[in-house]
Amino acid sequence: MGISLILLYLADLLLGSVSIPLKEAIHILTGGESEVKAWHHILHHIRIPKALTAVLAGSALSVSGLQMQTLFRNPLASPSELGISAGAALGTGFLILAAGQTDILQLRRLGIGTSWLLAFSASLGAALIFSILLVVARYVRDNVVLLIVGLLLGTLTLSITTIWQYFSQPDDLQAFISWTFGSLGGVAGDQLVILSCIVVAGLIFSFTLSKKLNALLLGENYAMSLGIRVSQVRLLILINTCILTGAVTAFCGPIGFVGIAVPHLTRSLLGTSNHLILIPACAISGPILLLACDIAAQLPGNDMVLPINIATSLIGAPLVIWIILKMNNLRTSF
Amino acid sequence: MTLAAHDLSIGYRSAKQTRWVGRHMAAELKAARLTALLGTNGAGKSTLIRTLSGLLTPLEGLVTLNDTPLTDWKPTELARQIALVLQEPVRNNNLSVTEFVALGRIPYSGWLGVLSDRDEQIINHSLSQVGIVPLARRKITQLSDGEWQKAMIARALTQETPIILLDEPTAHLDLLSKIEIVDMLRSTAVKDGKSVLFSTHDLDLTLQMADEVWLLDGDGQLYTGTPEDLVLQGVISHIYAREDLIGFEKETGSIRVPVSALKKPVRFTGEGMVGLWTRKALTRAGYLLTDQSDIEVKAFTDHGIHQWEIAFDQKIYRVECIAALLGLLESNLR
Repeated sequence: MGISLILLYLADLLLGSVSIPLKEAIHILTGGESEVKAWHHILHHIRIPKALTAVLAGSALSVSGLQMQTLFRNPLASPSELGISAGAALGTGFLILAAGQTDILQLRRLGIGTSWLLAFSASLGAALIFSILLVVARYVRDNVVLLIVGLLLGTLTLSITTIWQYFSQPDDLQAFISWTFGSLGGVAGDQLVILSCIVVAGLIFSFTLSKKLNALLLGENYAMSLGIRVSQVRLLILINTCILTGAVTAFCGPIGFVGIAVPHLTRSLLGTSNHLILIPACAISGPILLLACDIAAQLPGNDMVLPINIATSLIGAPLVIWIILKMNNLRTSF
Repeated sequence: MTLAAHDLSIGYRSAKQTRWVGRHMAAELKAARLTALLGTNGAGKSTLIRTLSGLLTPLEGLVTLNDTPLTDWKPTELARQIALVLQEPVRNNNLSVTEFVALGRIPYSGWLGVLSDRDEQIINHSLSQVGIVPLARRKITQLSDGEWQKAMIARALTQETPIILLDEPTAHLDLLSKIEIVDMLRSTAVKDGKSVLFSTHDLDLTLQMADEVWLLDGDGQLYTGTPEDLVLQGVISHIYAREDLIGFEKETGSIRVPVSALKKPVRFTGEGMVGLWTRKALTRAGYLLTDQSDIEVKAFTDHGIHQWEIAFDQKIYRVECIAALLGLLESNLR
């Protein structure tokens, strides 16, 4: 798994709309200077940050999805499917509106403080939806009903965001729409540092929750009888998921399907439900999937680049359809 | 460790209403004894077990463990005193029996939940105690009902608690598996000195195998005592009665069931085993056994062969099985 991650990471560096000869690329990556200045710039300032972002976003979203699936005991729980990403988008939109900032891209180029604020408000938006979901989940035991409620919540949230779009300038609108396509490429410099800090901290935090997540596999009553403070754990998972999803969504836009598909693929690949294994495994296989999507999005041999969200949807949607069709099986899979 | 209920009222409280399931109950769970919690469907067995384990808060009164209210115990400490087996299904096709049983070590393991050698030993010991070592690597979704109950008991044993509470561990099991499970619980209680409480609605099995009975009467009252005392005090025959047709017979220790309303008198003589079972058969078929009747049935054993003689209308018939006896009676008494 680790090897395929490294290979894909390198492939992602080497492939792009501007083709750089393999030899030159390796030369530049190993610290050498290139005769074409642009290649050097492209690799160091575009492709490496982009590939790093893919790794961070992939692991953050997958681990978020894994935690949510265990907490809700629902195979279809994940940030994008249950509207958490939409909540994060609302948070982002709200900040921009409140700050009077009209252009989200412009905001991205602002200083470090704003980036933190952006991540924070996105997490807060995510937390809002997550809390509503937790309340709904108390009354709704049916997986599919919860999923539908989540999807509707997501739609509701998006429509609020759309109202904001409706009243904004055409330029901002385009900026926002391109943000909703999702992009791994817009994160660089300070923002990348912030994103890394948040994601790494969040992943470590998730890992420390492994034991509690394992207890939750038996359901809340058993978890309580094993001495786990369930309401406390629920809150910790909420905070952690919202920070991970919020940060990624704030910087990369809503990226769908990674959060739902990766935990399933990882579980069935490793045949285990032990979170001590699953969390690191998802943190590796998430990036693998997202890097693969990113490479596919670049349509090798073509100048065009598809938005990442479209690539993940093209690969992820059939996967989720397959999951739903096999639902009888999957009801029992965690 | 003594688990005790003091003036305990149990039930469910919601914003709109309070539903009382049991009122003013007092009981103390005895160490090294198998206690059966008996009651008809809906009498409140599950509610009582959930309240005794601390999952539900009492409506009134107290549950104490060593004279300290349950709520004053730290969750992890409590999990080292009381193990719970619930009726809730655990559906997870990635969890093996060993992994499932290992979750019982959660109250003891470190913050990541990594198992020590001692933990492994205890897990193996529990598996062999309930006799499912050969199933250790099987996924829990592939177990039969009986095997699943054993796995749940093994998980409870792994928790190394002086008290084990089980909610209907023998539901859905065939008679032999039921006896096997209850016997396993009894030896756990007696040999290891644990207090074991299990709920059931199986009166016959309880009277034969339980050391103590807690009886919920369906009106919120709890009676406790040895099974025989409860029979002699008439508590059991009072509760297990419906009109005059169904009821508990103190004389035989079994449940009387409605018989067909034939009520034709028959004079019966018969000794020993063959006499006993012929008497049962005639009663079941609805014949009144009297001294005065022109129909005479005689059961006896001749050279090791059971035989029956029926005399009426100055004729004598001989048959060689009870089915033939009943058939003959039926066709001639119309």
